[in-house]
Amino acid sequence: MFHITEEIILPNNIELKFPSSKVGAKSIFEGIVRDNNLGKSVKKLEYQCYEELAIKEGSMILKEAVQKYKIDDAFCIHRTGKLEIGETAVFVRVFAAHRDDSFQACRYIIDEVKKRVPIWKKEIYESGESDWLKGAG
Amino acid sequence: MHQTIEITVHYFAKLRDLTNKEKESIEIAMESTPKDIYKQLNEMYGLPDNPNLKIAINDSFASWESELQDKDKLVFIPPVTGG
Repeated sequence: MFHITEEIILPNNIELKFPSSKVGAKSIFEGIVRDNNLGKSVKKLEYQCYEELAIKEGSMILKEAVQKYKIDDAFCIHRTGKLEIGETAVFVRVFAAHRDDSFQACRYIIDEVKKRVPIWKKEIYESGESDWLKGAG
Repeated sequence: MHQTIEITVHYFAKLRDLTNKEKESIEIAMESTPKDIYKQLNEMYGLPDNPNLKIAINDSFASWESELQDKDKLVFIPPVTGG
């Protein structure tokens, strides 16, 4: 399941129940707001999202991960709105029988989300200036 | 007189800042494409001249050459920077 939320992401509150007793590995990736980028002091971030297409594209990425790797379940949630330093911007969780598939699928999901899901990040600097980051896409 | 249709254009990120709008309805000539619309908007708002943008029509990726239909939702998608 791929989700978008304006609420603070609290990883401990995300349902992490194993989908089956065959699961032997759980991989988690969390992207966190840091206080600097390219030599500038970052005060906070703002994420904007084209939600209808983001959910479609994000769900497609999770489906691809399930087809590409031997995993039991994949989940991803991305934050929008204004985020403070230290808050979670994106959370990915994969369950698999073995660690290789679990790690690789987790990596695939976050890499593809960053490349394909229509979400944009604005950095708000300590200096008072702000700027939309330039994507690689 | 040319027949016209009405579409809604949604703006995100830099394009939202430049237009100062989240969305707007515009009347366009029948058989217009996103390429035609971007040219108009570029003149109106001073959007980037050589944009690295993708297109979505009605929440699905589409081409710059797609023929727009009445009531379509058009989005110009800047390079994404999530995560």
